[in-house]
Amino acid sequence: MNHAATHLEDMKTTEAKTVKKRRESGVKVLFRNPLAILSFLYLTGTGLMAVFAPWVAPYDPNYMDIDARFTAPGLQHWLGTDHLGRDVLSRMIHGARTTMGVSVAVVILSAFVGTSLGLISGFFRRADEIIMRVTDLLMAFPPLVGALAVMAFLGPGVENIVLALFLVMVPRVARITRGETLVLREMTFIKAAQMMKAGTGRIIFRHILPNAMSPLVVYFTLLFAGTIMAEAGLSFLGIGSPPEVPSWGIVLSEGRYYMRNAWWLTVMPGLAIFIAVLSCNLLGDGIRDVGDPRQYGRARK
Amino acid sequence: MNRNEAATNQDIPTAEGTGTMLPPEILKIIDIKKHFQLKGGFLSRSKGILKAVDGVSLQIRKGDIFGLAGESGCGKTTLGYVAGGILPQTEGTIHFEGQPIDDRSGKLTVRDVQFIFQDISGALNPKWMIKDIIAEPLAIIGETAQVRREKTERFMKEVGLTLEYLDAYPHELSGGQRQRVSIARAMVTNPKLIVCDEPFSALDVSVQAQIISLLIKLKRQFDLTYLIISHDLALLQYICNVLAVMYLGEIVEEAVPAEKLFTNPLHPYSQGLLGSFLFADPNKQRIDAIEILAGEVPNPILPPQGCRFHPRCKHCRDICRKEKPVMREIDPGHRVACHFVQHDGS
Amino acid sequence: MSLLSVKDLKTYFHVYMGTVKSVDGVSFDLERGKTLGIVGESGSGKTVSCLSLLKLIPMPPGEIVGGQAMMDGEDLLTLSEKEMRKVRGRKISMIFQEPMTALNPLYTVGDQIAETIRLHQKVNKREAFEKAVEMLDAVSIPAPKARAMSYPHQLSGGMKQRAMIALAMSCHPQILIADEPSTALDVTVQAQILLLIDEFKKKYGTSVILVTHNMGVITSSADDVMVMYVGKMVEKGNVYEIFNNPKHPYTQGLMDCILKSTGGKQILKTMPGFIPNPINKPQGCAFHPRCPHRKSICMNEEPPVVDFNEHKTACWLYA
Repeated sequence: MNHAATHLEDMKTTEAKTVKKRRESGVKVLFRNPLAILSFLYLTGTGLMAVFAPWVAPYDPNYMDIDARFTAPGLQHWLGTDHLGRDVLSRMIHGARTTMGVSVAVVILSAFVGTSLGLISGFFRRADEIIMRVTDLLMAFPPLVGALAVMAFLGPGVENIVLALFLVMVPRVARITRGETLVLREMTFIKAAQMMKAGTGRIIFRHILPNAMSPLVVYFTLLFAGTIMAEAGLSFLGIGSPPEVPSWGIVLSEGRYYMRNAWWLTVMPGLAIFIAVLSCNLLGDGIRDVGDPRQYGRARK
Repeated sequence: MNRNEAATNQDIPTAEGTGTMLPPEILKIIDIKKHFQLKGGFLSRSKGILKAVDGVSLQIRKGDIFGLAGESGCGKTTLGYVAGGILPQTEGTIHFEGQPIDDRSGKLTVRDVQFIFQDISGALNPKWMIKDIIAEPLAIIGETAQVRREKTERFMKEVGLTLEYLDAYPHELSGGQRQRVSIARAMVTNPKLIVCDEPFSALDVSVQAQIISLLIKLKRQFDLTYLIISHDLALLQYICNVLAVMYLGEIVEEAVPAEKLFTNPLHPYSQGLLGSFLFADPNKQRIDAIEILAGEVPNPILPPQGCRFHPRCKHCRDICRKEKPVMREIDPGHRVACHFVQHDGS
Repeated sequence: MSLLSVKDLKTYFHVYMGTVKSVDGVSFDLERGKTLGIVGESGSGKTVSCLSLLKLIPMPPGEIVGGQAMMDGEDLLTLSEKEMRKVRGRKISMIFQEPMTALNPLYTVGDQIAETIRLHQKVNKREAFEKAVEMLDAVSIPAPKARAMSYPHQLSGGMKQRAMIALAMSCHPQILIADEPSTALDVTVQAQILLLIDEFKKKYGTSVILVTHNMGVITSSADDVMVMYVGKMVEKGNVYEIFNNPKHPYTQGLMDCILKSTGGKQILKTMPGFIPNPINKPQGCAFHPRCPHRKSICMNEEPPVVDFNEHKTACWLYA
């Protein structure tokens, strides 16, 4: 029977090895997706530029070189100059500060607050009633209209944009988290944990949150895209960041009168917004594929 | 593993035999009721009461393998949860090792009762590694990392999992291996009672046999007591020494030793259940030659009056429609709730 | 002559990790008016074999690589999707484990059956509905007329499965494929459903392919049994032969694992090892790592099919 035992052992080790082989790190899976990599690079690049704007930008974003008005993109000014002779590239690099900064702040805030509210709401019946009625109220406004109303009330200013967009985004995050929580709550492993008398905190943070996280992270990337657009939209309408603080929306808005003669004034910031939003979406898709460990060994089309 | 290593159920203690020294009661429940209010829609008007468990008494002794049989909707799972101290009962009392358990749950810990589930894939958190899953009950009662590691590794070996799977995720395991993980998780705290809810029904035949043997081995080794909830009569006959049959929230028949219920089923429902059950033997049972219990389990929200089984019972008489039969002991260890069963068993 | 003759059926799935040979050279004959039981544990390819016959395999990733399935002089595997549609329902119907997946929740049960009847027979709407009610009556659904006007969710599990059978049998197919027809049902209802299928078989001479992992279902209903193990047939024969006199070591092991009947203390044996992963199947006979009678040839070469008087087994022990 020794002989038989070795064969079974062989079978077991092959199986255990297959288990290891079948598992790949999430990063590896992400790296198999070239679009996701490109998106990631674009977004990090933009982010780094925004952080180091004063050192990266070739000119002062508000320095007006009246002699060099409407210079087409060239060696001196890579992306040309605007109607006041300001360097478009420098304005956009500084603008990324506002746009990206606002978006990051809004996403982090609403992710944190929204997820917490959603978890509480999904887990505690009583709180659910209150939280959901408030989110219903906030979500009754179309997103941009809601933000407009808040901005009109608070007046322009970067902090106010953050607050306005936060108020718009938070109920949406809360809703999605609550939905995930309600589904997960009914799963057997949650019941198993409850039967082991696991505390509520343990169940929420160790069981529900990790499982709710992957769809949420995907949602956050979409939220980021939405915020970039919303910020640009508000600034474009003139109730976003004040003119002396450049943002992509401001650059776009200022350039719109000269679209016919100086195309770069609108095309460049427009393109920046477009690619950023697209990148967020592509990155979201990439993360979604990674998020589920069951996906690792799955068939790909 | 050796092919000749066969698991037998000969050394499962039975109340029969000398009968002088019965092992102590580990769980005793008296007249337990569990009712659920069914909520309506928007205005939350109550739509009715689901009497999932309606007056059940039973006792499980140390070392028992107590089987609970019945069709879906008979309340066997709810009873298992109430007995395990998870769901608070609506009425009745529960004693665990002689101590009364109040309806505030939390009195019983993972050191007392643990559970094994039917849903083998869903019972394990997909984002956790096997080592964390098995160690969770220990983490809940605040054991140190050192103890957790030691016990996890020990019980992984006990349930026949190699340590290579410590860092695996549940989806990387086969169904049988996942059930072994569940068993290891239930075992790490050395509980006194393990409630198994349909532990085998989602498994392949050969895996089922392995898991049955494993449970019997562990029981012997750690002096465990099981409450096994199942609809698989062949399995219950094999593994249990006490068997209770449930129908619509009530126990209709109970036998110690369980074998009595198979050789001499008294309640018409037990008879019908046994008659309809497909044991895997072509020489004995062909579908056109067996007597199948007609009908289906009625809606438990509106159970029939009197004896709940009367609409499906072929011996039904007037008294059955009006009066609820009480549990009577027909011969030692064999109790039944039917108006017409006599001591000679007819 | 047999009604359906399947030869060397091969269905593979191409997945990221490699090729899964779900069905790898399976042959069987289905006799008129008989029930062929296909048993096997998960991954044995029993369901895929049946789905391949009706071309219900998702393609890709699935692919029917080879073999033939002759019925009435035509090879089912070469039919176009349009021709296949005529076969499904009229010649071969199928019932599934979960009746809800096959019943449309938005239509009444009667309408669904009537529509199937109208698809295959030249009758008007009213006649079709009347026939549907007759079918519901034939599957012993109480108050068939009222039930014909209910929606699937208004029926209990057993009733749904009965309605499903009525739907499948409404065009009197020659073959009924039942894939785990009773697994999700209660013990008593399970027996009722199997009896119903058996009655139809006797009444209309329908041949049945019964796919299940439940040995009790097989022993109670099948005439012939095919035992499968990771994509291959390991043993095939009369149900009494298979259960009383199993030849293949896998079947023998399986018989020791099942709890056979009431009375008497049976000794439960366990088979060592586990079902191999279909992506890295063992060389030679797929069962060899778990086999107590293994010879060296088993590890390298696939076993031939040995025929003992209509009791076939694929094992080197008898070659």
